[in-house]
Amino acid sequence: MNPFDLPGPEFLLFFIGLSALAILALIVTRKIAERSAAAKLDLSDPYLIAYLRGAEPETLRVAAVSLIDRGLLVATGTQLKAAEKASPDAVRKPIEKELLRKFKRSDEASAIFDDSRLRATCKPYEETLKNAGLLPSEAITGARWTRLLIACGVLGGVAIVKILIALERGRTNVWFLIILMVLAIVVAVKISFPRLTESGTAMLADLQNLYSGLRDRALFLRPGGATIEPLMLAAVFGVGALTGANFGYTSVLFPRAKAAAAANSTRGSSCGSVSSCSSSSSCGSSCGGGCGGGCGGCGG
Amino acid sequence: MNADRFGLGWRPRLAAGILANLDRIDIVEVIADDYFRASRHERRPLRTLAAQTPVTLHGVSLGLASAVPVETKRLDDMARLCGEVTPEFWSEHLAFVRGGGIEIGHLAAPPRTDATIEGALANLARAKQIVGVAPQVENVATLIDPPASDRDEAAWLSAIIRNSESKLLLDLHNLYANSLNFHFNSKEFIERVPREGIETIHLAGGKWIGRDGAQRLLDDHLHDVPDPVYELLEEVAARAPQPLTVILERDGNFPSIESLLDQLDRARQAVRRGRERLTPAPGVAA
Repeated sequence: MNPFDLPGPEFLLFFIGLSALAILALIVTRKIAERSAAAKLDLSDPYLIAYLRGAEPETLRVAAVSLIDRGLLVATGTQLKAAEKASPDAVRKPIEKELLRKFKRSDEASAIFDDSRLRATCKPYEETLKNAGLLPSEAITGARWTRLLIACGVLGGVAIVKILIALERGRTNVWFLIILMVLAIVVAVKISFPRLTESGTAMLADLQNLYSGLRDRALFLRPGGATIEPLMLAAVFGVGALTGANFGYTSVLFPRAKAAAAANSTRGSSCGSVSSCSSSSSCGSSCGGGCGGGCGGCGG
Repeated sequence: MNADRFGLGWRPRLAAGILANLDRIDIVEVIADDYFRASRHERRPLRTLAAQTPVTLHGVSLGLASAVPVETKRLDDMARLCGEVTPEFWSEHLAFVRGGGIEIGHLAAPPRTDATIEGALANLARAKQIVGVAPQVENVATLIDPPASDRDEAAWLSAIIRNSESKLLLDLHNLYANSLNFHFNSKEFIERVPREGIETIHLAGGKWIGRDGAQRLLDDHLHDVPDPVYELLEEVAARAPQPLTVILERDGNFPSIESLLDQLDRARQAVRRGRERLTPAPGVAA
């Protein structure tokens, strides 16, 4: 049966099915093409993880919180200012140096997102993640375009042939098909260029699983740069995940991040974390039991 | 070349500290049983962890030291996890944990007899057959001297190591606790087990329980490693020339990561001291 001979409504159904198939093929081929073995990353660098999760804005937020936590930036309402004793030379990382320069004079915290020099300090993180296959490199982006063009070519080609046939047969009611074609192409474009590669998405999900124990203890994390835990929590789950009175300034400085974190937590992103099974003191190693069933008790 | 490695037991509570200090941690030990019931998707983070640092899998529920065969399902679970994570090695306790269908919830020391040696050897052979690699086997701590035993722990353990393909994961706090609870010399114990069979060391801490006259040292993994355990580690390093993997276990009452790293550093120093005293085995040219 030649689909181009189908009457209008039936052909529209056929085209909807074809569009769904093309979009599914785009998703599946992208996932397969961009899947690779887990990358080795410098997990001691919270800014790298923050960039993976949310590009420049998240990296800058985490860096600002880090400096505030260490007493090098002072938050007053929505404003930030470098502490009197803080010098850009006293910190090691370019992003921190630039933040201290930026806030030599008091300014709105949100100004960090529009500062090109600050954004430039994030470039090395982008390069590292691209090299690790977690962000799309030029080659990956090129492959995405190729797949998208093929899908659009098929969808557009089928639609145009049908329109030409319809017009040749004296029918002009082709607007539904044109609208469907445009819709299908818009959806295809939308799903073709996610910020992360498939490996990047998996890495982020895995890190959030591995750090799930940290999220469970967010209320009890100590401020003041005593440990790296608050910083890693912010890097892996977002600045909004820092809860409790000690980090109350984050919701004033970065209300949007706080709202996003609240939305994420209601979705229960920590659910299904198998590693939380051993987080209790009674079920860690061989001393305890319960997790996995039939664990032994103390003595191991 | 010194290829000794020093690592920590993976606990979610310690995740941030471990991942931020991988330059000071050579290897991470994961409790395998926590992942047996997890979906493939939920086990994937372990592969990501293994991409960052060498990982070993440690079992706590097989019950190898038993006349009862280990359930095939449990070995299949371990085999699947090993296949996915590709750990450096896997290990399990020489203990029994169930009988007559009842889980006793404890790593119990079996009677030290020919029957339990044969049972353990049969289980180890099955474990190797199904998982593909023989597990390292760990000595357990016990609060009671197993009744009906006809030999001591060193003889029992040595018989299993000598007659199987398994290497020994020597838990020095278990050894230390048993030596205090049952009044034997822990250094003599180290001399009696096959030195070439020791590949991994566990370090942990414990606490005294019971009343005067009936006190026992409990291996609870909730306290710092006591000084005598470092001394035992030095003894092992002085006798076993092969590279050792030393894992610090902590299951709760967590101190700061710095404190745990300091304990690892003490372990490094103990091994270094032992290496300086290293004596070649009889018959081996210096």
